[in-house]
Amino acid sequence: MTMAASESARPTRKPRSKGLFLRRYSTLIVLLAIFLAFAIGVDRFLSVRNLTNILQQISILTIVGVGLTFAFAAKEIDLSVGYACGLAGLLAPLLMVWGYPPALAVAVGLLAGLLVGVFNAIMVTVVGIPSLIATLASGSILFGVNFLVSGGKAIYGGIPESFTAIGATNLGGLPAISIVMLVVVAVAWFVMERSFLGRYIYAVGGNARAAELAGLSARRLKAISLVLCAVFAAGAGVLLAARLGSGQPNAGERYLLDGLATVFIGMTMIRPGIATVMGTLFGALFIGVINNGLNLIGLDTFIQDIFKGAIILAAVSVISRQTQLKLL
Amino acid sequence: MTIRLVDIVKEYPGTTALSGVSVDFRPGEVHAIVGENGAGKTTLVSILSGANRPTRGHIEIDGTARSFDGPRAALDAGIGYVSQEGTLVPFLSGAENIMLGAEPGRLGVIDRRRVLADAVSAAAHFFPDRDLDLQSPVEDLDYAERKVIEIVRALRAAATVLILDEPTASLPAADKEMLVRAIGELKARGLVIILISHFLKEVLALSDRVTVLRDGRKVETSDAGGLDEAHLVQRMLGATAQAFQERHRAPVPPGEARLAVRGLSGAGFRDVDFEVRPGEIVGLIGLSEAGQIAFAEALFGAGGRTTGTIAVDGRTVRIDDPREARRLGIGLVPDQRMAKALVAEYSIGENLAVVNLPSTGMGGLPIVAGARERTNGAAVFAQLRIKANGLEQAVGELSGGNKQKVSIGRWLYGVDARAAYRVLIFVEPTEGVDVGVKAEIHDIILKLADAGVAIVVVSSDLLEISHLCDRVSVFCDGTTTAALGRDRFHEDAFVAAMAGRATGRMG
Repeated sequence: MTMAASESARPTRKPRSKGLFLRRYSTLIVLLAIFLAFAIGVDRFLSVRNLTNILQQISILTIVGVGLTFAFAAKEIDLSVGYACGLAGLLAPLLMVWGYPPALAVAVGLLAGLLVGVFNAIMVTVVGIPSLIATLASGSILFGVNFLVSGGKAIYGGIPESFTAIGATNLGGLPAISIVMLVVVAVAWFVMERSFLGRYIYAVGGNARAAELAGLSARRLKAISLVLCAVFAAGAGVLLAARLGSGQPNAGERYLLDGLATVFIGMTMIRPGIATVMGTLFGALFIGVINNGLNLIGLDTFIQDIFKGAIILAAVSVISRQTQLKLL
Repeated sequence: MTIRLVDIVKEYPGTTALSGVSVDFRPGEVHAIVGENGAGKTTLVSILSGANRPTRGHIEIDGTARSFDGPRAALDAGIGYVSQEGTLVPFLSGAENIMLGAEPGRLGVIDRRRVLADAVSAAAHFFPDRDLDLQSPVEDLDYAERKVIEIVRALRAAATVLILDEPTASLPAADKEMLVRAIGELKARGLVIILISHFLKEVLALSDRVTVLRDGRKVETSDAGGLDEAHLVQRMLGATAQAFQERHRAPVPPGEARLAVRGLSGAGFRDVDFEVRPGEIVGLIGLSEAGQIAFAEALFGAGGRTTGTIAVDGRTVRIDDPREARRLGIGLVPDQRMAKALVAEYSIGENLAVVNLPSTGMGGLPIVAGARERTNGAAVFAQLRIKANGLEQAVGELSGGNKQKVSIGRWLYGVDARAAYRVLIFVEPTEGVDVGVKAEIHDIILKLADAGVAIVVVSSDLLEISHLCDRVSVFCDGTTTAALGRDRFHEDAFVAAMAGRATGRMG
């Protein structure tokens, strides 16, 4: 067939209307407003030290959130990320306590995430259990495993400084852990936006039947996204151990709800209704800024939780009214 | 009671289902509505049943304008509705379904004994000779029994109007008879009975008047007495016999089959023999669910397991999934584009790229080269004259015709279609698109065939089939019952073969 491009039919860039801009960036504007309010109203908020602090505080959360972004992009969910994060955060210190080198310990932590991901993927794509249920159950299993591994006690003593340094040092003014996070975000962004794999995951998440009829394997792509999700959670767990300098049996748990929140907030911006890596990064910033600001004001953590919940509801309500937000 | 539909317009984003239809229904008449798939029959009665609201126009009952804001309002007005798809609650019993929304009881507590008693008496009244199980969950019953329960519910609820949308499709003869008797009774009571049916013989036998719809417009309303089937079909199709015979392409010379299928069986079809040669366009027709779509999807490996043989260019192959079909150079543009081909929230560019994404590859790596992606997208955009703001516009915002162009364009993206495909299968390629785009799509298909691609077209639009195809295979009850060459392209031959009356040689 001929490919004669006629002038009239040449596609032009879609003019960005005000409405569209607002729809895409309203959450970002809210984030800026909150940021400004803290900057004006809270003393130590706008110091370089505090800002790098925020960046450090959100690093682990962001990595969990980016992992979840893969799952959400394929229209799946993973409720086991908190415990997968916890498992890797226990196994890595445990091996070092036993005297194995940090590199091996890190590898075992990530391998544990890979196995969790493969298990989840098999349950969802081979056995056919909806991911909401499969990962709820595997999370429960991991919760128990984490207690078996740790005996319910913290794991510490003899962890080399070369490992804990990841969580404690600054490189060129940035916390090392944040640099790791930024690299992870960059790689994930590239995979989702520029690689065939990312495009295919989005295609499956958008319409699995259509993807199948385009010759893609929806199963395989959903499986890959679930495996990536668990591996990212495990990576976050290893960083968590480095930051804590120990393995804590319950430390990973809070990353489930906060991680989901980063994705939900992210889904309200850039491409409303669709999980994106950049959206998730901003979602994590959103939560980081709020936590940090409220902390500086001196509010109790449970008050912070109430605020956070209210803000998530507000953010998601905006988008739910405009697009029929379908998570699963 | 007289019911009038006045200038009913129903628009959906991208398509118009009804464009100004007025019909009046008289008390005590059976009024049939006939037309092809997509003519607007179901949309029209769903408006009267309150399930759908018109974009413009109104309903008039005994001279006063009414509007139903939901099925409840229509039920309260005494309108009973048997819709085409099952509307029973699967885990409730037949009795509970029949009495749903009209349960006898006190203070909000349902009197379960009376539910059963009332349902049993209604069933016994309308279907006296039918032994119905009204106490098991309806999901455990067979199709016919469920249908009868649905009909009993509507008959019981109907005080002014009874709407029957394809009530007799696959209903046993005895049940049909009882339904006919029940219709007679309601008719004698002065109700309006509105009947939608594909079975024209049944329409002519049962109804007093017939309204023909075509492409969302009323063609005519006439007394059934002076009508015959041929007249109705002709009105439904809007075609003259001559239009079926017009020749647009030179005959394809005989030669080796590109795709040859022998005794293929699978989910929804069985024992099908079929072939198509390079450059040939072969049509597959049949009534809905006759197996032609299931067969077409199976050729693309999308229909589950099959038995029988498939040969491509003389070599026997297995096509177990779409990936295998793609490797063999077989492509499929499916029907129901939003369910099977496109993602509404994604951009035109993203939707176009998904089938041939490797054509955007950066130096052999599985990475999208942005520039190549834009060039490929712009080429398809221009070639298919897609009307949109640009490649970045979301597909969900486009009209039906432009969505279909994107669905087809996915297969032309980044490749020379002549070299890339051996066989292209189009299922309902112009479903819900306007006349202009229809012609453009026909043009694309003809050009692909002229370039030597073997084409399979499944369509319920018989004019489209006769316009495009060199040969037609007719499906009936899951298998091919007739093969018609162009010399036999005639609406009567099509309709007769689709209805299962053998008129052509087998195969």
